[in-house]
Amino acid sequence: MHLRGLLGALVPAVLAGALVALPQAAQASIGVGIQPGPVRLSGVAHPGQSVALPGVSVVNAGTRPESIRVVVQRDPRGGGRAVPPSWVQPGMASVQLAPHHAIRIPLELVVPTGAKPGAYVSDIVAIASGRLSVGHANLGAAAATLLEFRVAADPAPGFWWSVFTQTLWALLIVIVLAAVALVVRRSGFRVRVERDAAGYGPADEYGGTHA
Amino acid sequence: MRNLLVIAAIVVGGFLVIHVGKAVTAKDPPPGGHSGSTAVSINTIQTYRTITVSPTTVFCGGYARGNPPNRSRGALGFPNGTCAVGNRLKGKDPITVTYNGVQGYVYVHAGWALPNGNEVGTPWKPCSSAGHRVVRCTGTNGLPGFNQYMVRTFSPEAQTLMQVTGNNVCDVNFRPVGGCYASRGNFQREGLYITGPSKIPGSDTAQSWTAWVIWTAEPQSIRHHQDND
Repeated sequence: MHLRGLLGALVPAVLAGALVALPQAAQASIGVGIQPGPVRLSGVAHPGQSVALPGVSVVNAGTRPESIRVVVQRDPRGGGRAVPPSWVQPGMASVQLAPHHAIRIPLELVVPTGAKPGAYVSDIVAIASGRLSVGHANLGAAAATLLEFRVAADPAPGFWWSVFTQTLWALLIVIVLAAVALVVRRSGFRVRVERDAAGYGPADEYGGTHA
Repeated sequence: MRNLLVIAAIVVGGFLVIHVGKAVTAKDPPPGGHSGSTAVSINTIQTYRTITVSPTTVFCGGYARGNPPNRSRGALGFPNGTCAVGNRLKGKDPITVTYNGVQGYVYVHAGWALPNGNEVGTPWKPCSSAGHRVVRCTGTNGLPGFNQYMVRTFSPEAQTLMQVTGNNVCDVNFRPVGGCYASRGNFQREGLYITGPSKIPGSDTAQSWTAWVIWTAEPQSIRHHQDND
């Protein structure tokens, strides 16, 4: 009798719990989003130059916290030179995002000195690294936007200009210092350093006693 | 001495004026007078390009193939054992792929299958019975060879199975008519068949593997972008 009463109380509770839990399990999803507009460098990049690309915005479109990382992948449709992944360095290796939260990830473009000139096109891909197990298969989600920039044939003009200006400044300072030294010498200006004979106080002078 | 100090001060001062002066900018003065304002809250449609994947079942079941004694109903057998996520013939397509945001495409690719946890095993690479030599299955009759595995996806709208390799390609299951084009709110239900390798190295002891299938929301081509700009 007691057992029947216990079952009568427990079964509805278990069923209610299952009804609450099942929709949540069914709705669980992994998801990621990325800005629709391309990441595009205004102007051209030069070999040997490091420039800041516009940041890329990513969002966790899933229903649970995700670790999202950004990588560069070849544009599957081609077009232009593919960007070597090592050229683009995200400001953070991965970012942990709560559901429906977004963040802007800074990007830096590092063009090696031997880079070939031309138009470069690839995908910036945000990958949700979380996993939803389906027995022996795990499912992932990723979202891509285009990355576009041009590399000029010649090194960055700023590079040679900065070398030139720094050399000029160093030369100018040396000339100024030399001129100052010359003026000082011609003017007959002398700095005389005198040293007074150091005494040891009245006790020594007068042959005082030491303890 | 005093002359020397004056000259040095002039040089340093000039240097500072030239270099620091560039970085100094004045703020705009605050607007004068009184003003009133009101805040207007506006909601916009979703602008991010997103993709979500939500399975509704958690098993790769229906194990088949393999030769006795390397055959089981509860695990992948050898050679070329298979399992299924869903059932194409019975119309069970447990994985829901949903695209949102501005229009684009849905691509899909598979990753290496790796042994779980601390188990020892050589990764299996995804392969295809057709296509480029690099991704082609090396087993008999186009089946996976040594350390290879095959992923085929299906959907209720597609007539044929699609083989998925490591190359990111248009998921024709997502929209069989019109390629894998996707616009706001489009979704598709899909399922998977997985076929294991012909054999694995004798040194591999792993009994639990994890295969990867990844759906990617892709932008329109560079040409479309330039047309729209």
